[in-house]
Amino acid sequence: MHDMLKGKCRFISSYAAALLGCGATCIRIEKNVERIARTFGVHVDMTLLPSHVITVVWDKDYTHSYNCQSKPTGEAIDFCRNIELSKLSWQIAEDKLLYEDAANRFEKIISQPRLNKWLVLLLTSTANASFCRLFGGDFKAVGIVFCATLIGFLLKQIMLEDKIDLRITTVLSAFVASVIGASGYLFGISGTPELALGTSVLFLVPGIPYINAGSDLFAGHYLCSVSRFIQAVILTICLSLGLCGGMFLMQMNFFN
Amino acid sequence: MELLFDILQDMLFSALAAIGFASISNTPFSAMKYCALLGAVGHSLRFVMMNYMGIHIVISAFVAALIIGILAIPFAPKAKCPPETFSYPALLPMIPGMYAYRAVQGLVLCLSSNDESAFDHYFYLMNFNGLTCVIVVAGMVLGVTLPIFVFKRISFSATREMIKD
Amino acid sequence: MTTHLIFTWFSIISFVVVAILARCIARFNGLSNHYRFIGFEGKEDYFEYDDDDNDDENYK
Repeated sequence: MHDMLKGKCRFISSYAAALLGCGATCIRIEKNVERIARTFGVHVDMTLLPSHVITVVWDKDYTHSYNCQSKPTGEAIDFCRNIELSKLSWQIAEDKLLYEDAANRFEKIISQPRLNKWLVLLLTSTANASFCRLFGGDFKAVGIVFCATLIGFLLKQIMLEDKIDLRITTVLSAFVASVIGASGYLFGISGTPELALGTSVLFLVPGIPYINAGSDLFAGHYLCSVSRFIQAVILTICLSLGLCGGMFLMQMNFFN
Repeated sequence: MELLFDILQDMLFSALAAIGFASISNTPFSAMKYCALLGAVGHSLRFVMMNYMGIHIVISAFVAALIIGILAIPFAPKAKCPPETFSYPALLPMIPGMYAYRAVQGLVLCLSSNDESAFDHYFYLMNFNGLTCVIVVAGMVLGVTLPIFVFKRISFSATREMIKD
Repeated sequence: MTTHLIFTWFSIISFVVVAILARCIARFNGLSNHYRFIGFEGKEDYFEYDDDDNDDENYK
Protein backbone atom coordinates (compact mmCIF):
# COMPACT_ATOMS: atom_id res chain seq x y z
CA MET A 1 0.00 0.00 0.00
CA HIS A 2 2.76 2.38 1.02
CA ASP A 3 4.81 1.69 -2.11
CA MET A 4 1.78 2.07 -4.32
CA LEU A 5 0.88 5.41 -2.73
CA LYS A 6 4.50 6.53 -2.88
CA GLY A 7 4.78 5.77 -6.59
CA LYS A 8 1.52 7.53 -7.41
CA CYS A 9 2.38 10.53 -5.25
CA ARG A 10 5.79 10.93 -6.84
CA PHE A 11 4.28 10.64 -10.31
CA ILE A 12 1.56 13.21 -9.59
CA SER A 13 4.08 15.53 -7.96
CA SER A 14 6.53 15.44 -10.88
CA TYR A 15 3.61 15.79 -13.32
CA ALA A 16 2.38 18.93 -11.57
CA ALA A 17 5.92 20.28 -11.31
CA ALA A 18 6.49 19.72 -15.03
CA LEU A 19 3.23 21.50 -15.91
CA LEU A 20 4.06 24.41 -13.60
CA GLY A 21 7.54 24.67 -15.09
CA CYS A 22 6.26 24.80 -18.66
CA GLY A 23 4.01 27.77 -17.90
CA ALA A 24 0.59 26.20 -17.60
CA THR A 25 -2.13 28.04 -15.74
CA CYS A 26 -2.87 26.81 -12.21
CA ILE A 27 -6.43 25.83 -13.03
CA ARG A 28 -5.23 23.55 -15.82
CA ILE A 29 -2.77 21.86 -13.46
CA GLU A 30 -5.52 21.36 -10.87
CA LYS A 31 -8.00 19.88 -13.33
CA ASN A 32 -5.46 17.52 -14.88
CA VAL A 33 -4.21 16.31 -11.49
CA GLU A 34 -7.78 15.77 -10.27
CA ARG A 35 -8.49 13.65 -13.33
CA ILE A 36 -5.36 11.54 -12.84
CA ALA A 37 -6.04 11.07 -9.13
CA ARG A 38 -9.62 9.96 -9.80
CA THR A 39 -8.38 7.32 -12.26
CA PHE A 40 -5.65 6.11 -9.89
CA GLY A 41 -8.25 5.78 -7.13
CA VAL A 42 -6.54 8.13 -4.71
CA HIS A 43 -7.41 11.47 -3.18
CA VAL A 44 -5.01 14.32 -3.81
CA ASP A 45 -4.49 17.63 -2.00
CA MET A 46 -2.15 19.91 -3.87
CA THR A 47 -0.64 23.25 -2.94
CA LEU A 48 0.64 25.26 -5.88
CA LEU A 49 3.25 27.77 -4.79
CA PRO A 50 5.35 29.89 -7.11
CA SER A 51 8.50 27.79 -6.73
CA HIS A 52 7.20 24.56 -5.21
CA VAL A 53 4.44 22.02 -5.57
CA ILE A 54 3.37 20.17 -2.41
CA THR A 55 1.32 17.06 -3.08
CA VAL A 56 -0.42 14.93 -0.46
CA VAL A 57 -1.93 11.67 -1.69
CA TRP A 58 -4.43 9.72 0.42
CA ASP A 59 -5.76 6.28 -0.29
CA LYS A 60 -9.50 5.73 -0.90
CA ASP A 61 -10.43 5.42 2.78
CA TYR A 62 -8.22 8.23 4.07
CA THR A 63 -6.19 5.81 6.20
CA HIS A 64 -2.71 6.17 4.65
CA SER A 65 -1.05 9.13 3.04
CA TYR A 66 2.18 10.07 1.34
CA ASN A 67 3.43 13.57 0.64
CA CYS A 68 5.97 14.92 -1.75
CA GLN A 69 7.38 18.29 -2.63
CA SER A 70 8.81 19.15 -6.04
CA LYS A 71 10.34 22.16 -7.69
CA PRO A 72 9.07 23.13 -11.14
CA THR A 73 11.17 21.57 -13.90
CA GLY A 74 11.82 22.93 -17.37
CA GLU A 75 13.49 26.15 -18.42
CA ALA A 76 10.99 28.22 -20.38
CA ILE A 77 7.38 28.30 -21.46
CA ASP A 78 6.68 25.25 -23.57
CA PHE A 79 3.22 24.82 -25.04
CA CYS A 80 4.15 21.50 -26.70
CA ARG A 81 4.88 19.97 -23.33
CA ASN A 82 1.70 21.52 -21.89
CA ILE A 83 -0.37 19.92 -24.67
CA GLU A 84 1.29 16.51 -24.39
CA LEU A 85 0.93 16.42 -20.60
CA SER A 86 -2.75 17.40 -20.82
CA LYS A 87 -3.24 14.67 -23.44
CA LEU A 88 -1.52 12.23 -21.07
CA SER A 89 -3.99 13.03 -18.31
CA TRP A 90 -6.88 12.24 -20.65
CA GLN A 91 -5.16 9.03 -21.82
CA ILE A 92 -4.76 7.96 -18.19
CA ALA A 93 -8.43 8.71 -17.52
CA GLU A 94 -9.88 7.06 -20.63
CA ASP A 95 -7.51 4.16 -21.28
CA LYS A 96 -7.19 3.52 -17.54
CA LEU A 97 -3.39 3.41 -17.73
CA LEU A 98 -1.44 1.95 -14.83
CA TYR A 99 0.87 4.36 -13.16
CA GLU A 100 4.01 2.61 -14.46
CA ASP A 101 2.86 3.08 -18.07
CA ALA A 102 1.91 6.64 -17.30
CA ALA A 103 5.33 7.26 -15.77
CA ASN A 104 7.05 5.87 -18.89
CA ARG A 105 5.02 8.09 -21.20
CA PHE A 106 5.72 11.02 -18.91
CA GLU A 107 9.49 10.43 -19.17
CA LYS A 108 9.22 10.33 -22.96
CA ILE A 109 7.32 13.63 -23.03
CA ILE A 110 9.82 15.33 -20.72
CA SER A 111 12.76 14.31 -22.87
CA GLN A 112 11.35 15.75 -26.10
CA PRO A 113 13.48 18.58 -27.50
CA ARG A 114 12.21 22.05 -28.36
CA LEU A 115 11.74 23.49 -31.85
CA ASN A 116 14.86 24.00 -33.97
CA LYS A 117 16.51 27.11 -32.52
CA TRP A 118 17.49 28.56 -35.91
CA LEU A 119 13.87 28.39 -37.05
CA VAL A 120 12.77 30.12 -33.85
CA LEU A 121 15.43 32.80 -34.42
CA LEU A 122 14.20 33.46 -37.95
CA LEU A 123 10.53 33.48 -36.99
CA THR A 124 11.15 35.81 -34.03
CA SER A 125 13.11 38.27 -36.17
CA THR A 126 10.32 38.24 -38.74
CA ALA A 127 7.76 38.73 -35.98
CA ASN A 128 9.53 41.73 -34.49
CA ALA A 129 10.04 43.24 -37.91
CA SER A 130 6.29 42.82 -38.58
CA PHE A 131 5.68 44.54 -35.27
CA CYS A 132 7.63 47.54 -36.52
CA ARG A 133 5.52 47.61 -39.66
CA LEU A 134 2.32 47.38 -37.59
CA PHE A 135 3.39 50.45 -35.62
CA GLY A 136 3.80 52.30 -38.91
CA GLY A 137 7.52 52.02 -39.62
CA ASP A 138 8.83 52.27 -43.16
CA PHE A 139 10.58 49.32 -44.78
CA LYS A 140 14.10 50.50 -43.91
CA ALA A 141 13.11 50.64 -40.24
CA VAL A 142 11.67 47.13 -40.64
CA GLY A 143 15.04 45.97 -41.99
CA ILE A 144 16.92 47.56 -39.08
CA VAL A 145 14.59 45.91 -36.57
CA PHE A 146 15.03 42.53 -38.31
CA CYS A 147 18.82 42.75 -37.94
CA ALA A 148 18.59 44.04 -34.37
CA THR A 149 16.29 41.17 -33.35
CA LEU A 150 18.42 38.59 -35.16
CA ILE A 151 21.56 39.51 -33.23
CA GLY A 152 19.77 40.28 -29.96
CA PHE A 153 17.85 37.00 -29.91
CA LEU A 154 20.91 34.98 -30.97
CA LEU A 155 22.79 36.52 -28.07
CA LYS A 156 19.91 35.64 -25.73
CA GLN A 157 19.83 32.02 -26.96
CA ILE A 158 23.59 31.64 -26.48
CA MET A 159 23.56 33.18 -23.01
CA LEU A 160 20.63 31.04 -21.92
CA GLU A 161 22.41 27.92 -23.18
CA ASP A 162 25.32 28.92 -20.95
CA LYS A 163 22.85 29.13 -18.06
CA ILE A 164 23.43 32.84 -17.45
CA ASP A 165 20.68 34.41 -15.33
CA LEU A 166 17.65 35.41 -17.39
CA ARG A 167 17.62 38.97 -16.04
CA ILE A 168 21.21 39.71 -17.01
CA THR A 169 20.57 38.06 -20.38
CA THR A 170 17.59 40.36 -20.93
CA VAL A 171 19.58 43.49 -20.03
CA LEU A 172 22.48 42.63 -22.34
CA SER A 173 20.25 41.46 -25.16
CA ALA A 174 18.13 44.63 -24.95
CA PHE A 175 21.31 46.73 -24.87
CA VAL A 176 22.69 45.17 -28.05
CA ALA A 177 19.31 45.26 -29.84
CA SER A 178 18.80 48.92 -28.97
CA VAL A 179 22.32 49.85 -30.12
CA ILE A 180 21.59 48.25 -33.49
CA GLY A 181 18.11 49.80 -33.52
CA ALA A 182 19.69 53.24 -33.03
CA SER A 183 21.47 52.92 -36.36
CA GLY A 184 18.45 54.55 -37.99
CA TYR A 185 19.33 57.78 -36.20
CA LEU A 186 23.07 57.32 -36.50
CA PHE A 187 23.30 56.71 -40.24
CA GLY A 188 20.14 58.60 -41.22
CA ILE A 189 18.84 55.51 -42.97
CA SER A 190 15.18 55.41 -42.15
CA GLY A 191 12.32 57.91 -42.21
CA THR A 192 10.96 56.61 -38.90
CA PRO A 193 14.07 55.97 -36.77
CA GLU A 194 12.20 56.32 -33.48
CA LEU A 195 10.00 53.34 -34.35
CA ALA A 196 13.06 51.28 -35.28
CA LEU A 197 14.62 52.03 -31.90
CA GLY A 198 11.41 51.51 -29.98
CA THR A 199 10.40 48.20 -31.53
CA SER A 200 13.89 46.68 -31.67
CA VAL A 201 13.60 45.38 -28.09
CA LEU A 202 9.98 44.22 -28.08
CA PHE A 203 10.91 40.58 -28.66
CA LEU A 204 12.08 40.44 -25.03
CA VAL A 205 8.75 41.49 -23.51
CA PRO A 206 7.44 38.56 -21.41
CA GLY A 207 3.86 38.64 -22.68
CA ILE A 208 2.72 35.16 -21.69
CA PRO A 209 3.62 35.44 -17.96
CA TYR A 210 1.39 38.53 -17.76
CA ILE A 211 -1.53 36.66 -19.30
CA ASN A 212 -0.92 33.59 -17.11
CA ALA A 213 -0.94 35.88 -14.07
CA GLY A 214 -4.34 37.18 -15.14
CA SER A 215 -5.70 33.66 -15.54
CA ASP A 216 -4.42 32.65 -12.09
CA LEU A 217 -5.99 35.77 -10.59
CA PHE A 218 -9.35 34.74 -12.06
CA ALA A 219 -9.03 31.25 -10.67
CA GLY A 220 -8.17 32.48 -7.18
CA HIS A 221 -4.51 31.41 -7.10
CA TYR A 222 -3.41 34.82 -5.90
CA LEU A 223 0.07 33.81 -4.76
CA CYS A 224 1.01 32.31 -8.12
CA SER A 225 -0.64 35.20 -9.93
CA VAL A 226 1.32 37.86 -8.05
CA SER A 227 4.54 35.86 -8.33
CA ARG A 228 4.22 35.47 -12.11
CA PHE A 229 3.28 39.13 -12.43
CA ILE A 230 6.31 40.28 -10.43
CA GLN A 231 8.62 38.00 -12.46
CA ALA A 232 7.25 39.55 -15.65
CA VAL A 233 7.59 43.08 -14.26
CA ILE A 234 11.22 42.44 -13.29
CA LEU A 235 12.01 41.21 -16.80
CA THR A 236 10.31 44.28 -18.25
CA ILE A 237 12.41 46.52 -15.98
CA CYS A 238 15.58 44.70 -17.12
CA LEU A 239 14.53 45.23 -20.71
CA SER A 240 14.02 48.97 -20.07
CA LEU A 241 17.41 49.17 -18.37
CA GLY A 242 19.08 47.64 -21.41
CA LEU A 243 17.17 49.96 -23.72
CA CYS A 244 18.06 53.03 -21.64
CA GLY A 245 21.70 51.94 -21.54
CA GLY A 246 21.78 51.58 -25.30
CA MET A 247 20.07 54.91 -25.81
CA PHE A 248 22.38 56.63 -23.34
CA LEU A 249 25.48 55.24 -25.07
CA MET A 250 24.22 56.31 -28.48
CA GLN A 251 23.24 59.66 -26.95
CA MET A 252 19.62 59.34 -27.95
CA ASN A 253 18.03 61.31 -25.15
CA PHE A 254 14.57 61.41 -26.59
CA PHE A 255 12.17 59.66 -28.83
CA ASN A 256 9.10 61.25 -30.35
CA MET B 1 -10.35 49.95 -51.56
CA GLU B 2 -7.66 51.63 -49.53
CA LEU B 3 -9.42 50.46 -46.37
CA LEU B 4 -9.34 46.88 -47.63
CA PHE B 5 -5.67 47.15 -48.52
CA ASP B 6 -4.84 48.58 -45.06
CA ILE B 7 -6.78 45.81 -43.33
CA LEU B 8 -5.12 43.08 -45.41
CA GLN B 9 -1.69 44.50 -44.71
CA ASP B 10 -2.50 44.68 -41.00
CA MET B 11 -3.74 41.08 -41.02
CA LEU B 12 -0.63 39.81 -42.78
CA PHE B 13 1.84 41.46 -40.43
CA SER B 14 -0.04 40.58 -37.27
CA ALA B 15 -0.27 36.96 -38.44
CA LEU B 16 3.52 36.92 -38.94
CA ALA B 17 4.04 38.49 -35.53
CA ALA B 18 1.72 35.96 -33.85
CA ILE B 19 3.55 33.02 -35.49
CA GLY B 20 6.93 34.37 -34.44
CA PHE B 21 5.96 34.86 -30.83
CA ALA B 22 4.26 31.48 -30.79
CA SER B 23 7.52 29.85 -31.88
CA ILE B 24 9.35 31.35 -28.88
CA SER B 25 6.92 29.52 -26.59
CA ASN B 26 7.45 26.28 -28.50
CA THR B 27 3.96 25.97 -29.96
CA PRO B 28 3.51 22.92 -32.20
CA PHE B 29 3.26 23.57 -35.95
CA SER B 30 -0.29 22.22 -36.11
CA ALA B 31 -1.43 25.01 -33.77
CA MET B 32 0.49 27.80 -35.47
CA LYS B 33 -2.00 28.31 -38.30
CA TYR B 34 -4.71 29.00 -35.72
CA CYS B 35 -2.37 31.45 -33.93
CA ALA B 36 -1.85 33.28 -37.20
CA LEU B 37 -5.58 33.36 -37.96
CA LEU B 38 -6.56 34.59 -34.51
CA GLY B 39 -3.74 37.15 -34.44
CA ALA B 40 -4.80 38.49 -37.83
CA VAL B 41 -8.49 38.68 -36.92
CA GLY B 42 -7.91 40.26 -33.50
CA HIS B 43 -5.41 42.89 -34.54
CA SER B 44 -7.27 43.93 -37.69
CA LEU B 45 -10.50 44.21 -35.70
CA ARG B 46 -8.75 46.48 -33.22
CA PHE B 47 -7.28 48.48 -36.12
CA VAL B 48 -10.70 48.98 -37.72
CA MET B 49 -12.35 49.88 -34.41
CA MET B 50 -9.69 52.41 -33.47
CA ASN B 51 -9.03 54.07 -36.81
CA TYR B 52 -12.33 53.86 -38.66
CA MET B 53 -14.92 53.72 -35.90
CA GLY B 54 -13.11 56.03 -33.48
CA ILE B 55 -13.51 53.72 -30.49
CA HIS B 56 -11.09 54.21 -27.61
CA ILE B 57 -8.09 51.87 -27.48
CA VAL B 58 -9.10 50.30 -24.15
CA ILE B 59 -12.50 49.19 -25.42
CA SER B 60 -11.22 48.10 -28.83
CA ALA B 61 -8.43 46.04 -27.23
CA PHE B 62 -10.90 44.39 -24.83
CA VAL B 63 -13.37 43.55 -27.60
CA ALA B 64 -10.62 42.24 -29.89
CA ALA B 65 -9.20 40.07 -27.09
CA LEU B 66 -12.71 38.78 -26.29
CA ILE B 67 -13.24 37.83 -29.94
CA ILE B 68 -9.87 36.04 -29.98
CA GLY B 69 -10.77 34.19 -26.78
CA ILE B 70 -14.20 33.19 -28.09
CA LEU B 71 -12.85 32.05 -31.47
CA ALA B 72 -10.14 29.97 -29.80
CA ILE B 73 -12.75 27.78 -28.06
CA PRO B 74 -14.16 25.98 -31.14
CA PHE B 75 -10.66 25.66 -32.67
CA ALA B 76 -9.29 23.95 -29.55
CA PRO B 77 -10.88 20.49 -29.99
CA LYS B 78 -10.06 20.61 -33.75
CA ALA B 79 -6.36 21.14 -33.09
CA LYS B 80 -6.36 18.95 -29.96
CA CYS B 81 -4.73 21.78 -28.01
CA PRO B 82 -5.86 23.87 -25.06
CA PRO B 83 -7.33 27.16 -26.34
CA GLU B 84 -4.69 29.23 -24.57
CA THR B 85 -2.07 27.65 -26.87
CA PHE B 86 -3.26 29.81 -29.74
CA SER B 87 -5.05 32.66 -28.02
CA TYR B 88 -2.11 33.80 -25.85
CA PRO B 89 0.42 34.22 -28.71
CA ALA B 90 -2.32 35.79 -30.87
CA LEU B 91 -2.71 38.46 -28.22
CA LEU B 92 0.95 39.47 -28.19
CA PRO B 93 0.90 41.70 -31.32
CA MET B 94 -1.68 43.87 -29.57
CA ILE B 95 0.49 44.82 -26.60
CA PRO B 96 0.73 48.65 -26.63
CA GLY B 97 4.49 49.19 -26.71
CA MET B 98 4.43 52.88 -27.58
CA TYR B 99 2.39 53.84 -24.51
CA ALA B 100 4.84 51.99 -22.27
CA TYR B 101 7.80 53.78 -23.86
CA ARG B 102 6.17 57.19 -23.51
CA ALA B 103 5.44 56.41 -19.86
CA VAL B 104 9.09 55.54 -19.19
CA GLN B 105 10.22 58.57 -21.17
CA GLY B 106 7.87 60.75 -19.09
CA LEU B 107 9.31 59.28 -15.90
CA VAL B 108 12.91 59.99 -16.95
CA LEU B 109 12.11 63.50 -18.16
CA CYS B 110 10.10 64.41 -15.08
CA LEU B 111 12.87 63.27 -12.76
CA SER B 112 15.39 65.34 -14.67
CA SER B 113 13.23 68.47 -14.96
CA ASN B 114 14.11 71.64 -13.12
CA ASP B 115 10.90 73.60 -12.64
CA GLU B 116 7.45 72.69 -11.46
CA SER B 117 5.53 73.23 -14.69
CA ALA B 118 7.88 70.96 -16.68
CA PHE B 119 7.67 68.36 -13.91
CA ASP B 120 3.88 68.57 -13.90
CA HIS B 121 3.72 68.21 -17.65
CA TYR B 122 5.97 65.13 -17.77
CA PHE B 123 4.26 63.65 -14.71
CA TYR B 124 0.93 63.99 -16.51
CA LEU B 125 2.40 62.32 -19.63
CA MET B 126 3.85 59.49 -17.57
CA ASN B 127 0.59 58.86 -15.74
CA PHE B 128 -1.59 59.13 -18.82
CA ASN B 129 0.51 56.77 -20.89
CA GLY B 130 1.25 54.42 -18.00
CA LEU B 131 -2.39 54.10 -16.97
CA THR B 132 -3.54 53.60 -20.56
CA CYS B 133 -0.96 50.88 -21.06
CA VAL B 134 -1.84 49.09 -17.80
CA ILE B 135 -5.59 49.25 -18.40
CA VAL B 136 -5.27 48.12 -22.02
CA VAL B 137 -3.19 45.09 -20.98
CA ALA B 138 -5.61 44.31 -18.12
CA GLY B 139 -8.55 44.56 -20.53
CA MET B 140 -6.84 42.22 -23.00
CA VAL B 141 -6.03 39.66 -20.32
CA LEU B 142 -9.62 39.79 -19.05
CA GLY B 143 -11.00 39.47 -22.57
CA VAL B 144 -8.96 36.42 -23.44
CA THR B 145 -9.36 34.62 -20.11
CA LEU B 146 -13.13 35.10 -19.76
CA PRO B 147 -14.17 32.66 -22.53
CA ILE B 148 -11.87 29.96 -21.15
CA PHE B 149 -13.67 30.11 -17.81
CA VAL B 150 -17.13 30.43 -19.32
CA PHE B 151 -16.66 27.45 -21.65
CA LYS B 152 -14.80 25.38 -19.06
CA ARG B 153 -15.97 22.03 -20.38
CA ILE B 154 -14.60 22.58 -23.87
CA SER B 155 -11.43 24.34 -22.73
CA PHE B 156 -10.37 21.56 -20.41
CA SER B 157 -11.29 18.62 -22.61
CA ALA B 158 -9.72 19.86 -25.83
CA THR B 159 -6.81 17.44 -25.64
CA ARG B 160 -9.12 14.46 -25.25
CA GLU B 161 -9.04 11.84 -28.03
CA MET B 162 -12.29 11.50 -29.96
CA ILE B 163 -14.73 9.19 -28.21
CA LYS B 164 -15.37 6.22 -30.48
CA ASP B 165 -19.02 5.17 -30.42
CA MET C 1 30.54 63.96 -32.43
CA THR C 2 28.71 61.71 -34.86
CA THR C 3 31.96 59.99 -35.89
CA HIS C 4 32.62 59.26 -32.24
CA LEU C 5 29.16 57.70 -31.94
CA ILE C 6 29.63 55.69 -35.14
CA PHE C 7 32.93 54.45 -33.79
CA THR C 8 31.24 53.37 -30.52
CA TRP C 9 28.48 51.66 -32.50
CA PHE C 10 30.92 49.74 -34.68
CA SER C 11 33.02 48.67 -31.72
CA ILE C 12 30.01 47.35 -29.79
CA ILE C 13 28.65 45.49 -32.82
CA SER C 14 32.04 44.01 -33.72
CA PHE C 15 32.58 42.89 -30.13
CA VAL C 16 29.19 41.17 -30.04
CA VAL C 17 29.62 39.54 -33.46
CA VAL C 18 33.12 38.29 -32.64
CA ALA C 19 31.95 36.99 -29.24
CA ILE C 20 29.05 35.12 -30.83
CA LEU C 21 31.27 33.65 -33.57
CA ALA C 22 33.91 32.59 -31.05
CA ARG C 23 31.24 30.95 -28.89
CA CYS C 24 29.73 29.10 -31.86
CA ILE C 25 33.14 27.90 -33.05
CA ALA C 26 34.13 26.79 -29.56
CA ARG C 27 30.87 24.90 -29.13
CA PHE C 28 31.21 23.33 -32.58
CA ASN C 29 34.64 22.06 -31.66
CA GLY C 30 33.34 20.76 -28.34
CA LEU C 31 35.71 22.93 -26.37
CA SER C 32 33.03 24.36 -24.14
CA ASN C 33 32.27 20.99 -22.57
CA HIS C 34 35.60 20.96 -20.80
CA TYR C 35 35.49 24.14 -18.81
CA ARG C 36 32.46 26.05 -17.57
CA PHE C 37 33.20 29.18 -15.63
CA ILE C 38 29.85 30.82 -15.34
CA GLY C 39 27.27 29.29 -13.10
CA PHE C 40 24.72 31.61 -11.55
CA GLU C 41 22.32 28.91 -10.62
CA GLY C 42 24.48 27.58 -7.81
CA LYS C 43 25.52 24.31 -9.37
CA GLU C 44 27.69 22.23 -7.07
CA ASP C 45 30.69 22.42 -9.40
CA TYR C 46 31.63 25.83 -10.64
CA PHE C 47 34.52 24.13 -12.41
CA GLU C 48 33.75 20.87 -14.16
CA TYR C 49 36.80 19.33 -15.68
CA ASP C 50 37.40 16.25 -17.71
CA ASP C 51 39.45 14.24 -15.29
CA ASP C 52 39.82 10.56 -16.01
CA ASP C 53 40.37 9.74 -12.36
CA ASN C 54 37.08 11.31 -11.41
CA ASP C 55 34.50 8.94 -10.08
CA ASP C 56 31.40 10.08 -11.96
CA GLU C 57 29.15 7.89 -9.88
CA ASN C 58 28.97 10.59 -7.21
CA TYR C 59 27.48 13.12 -9.61
CA LYS C 60 24.69 10.94 -10.93
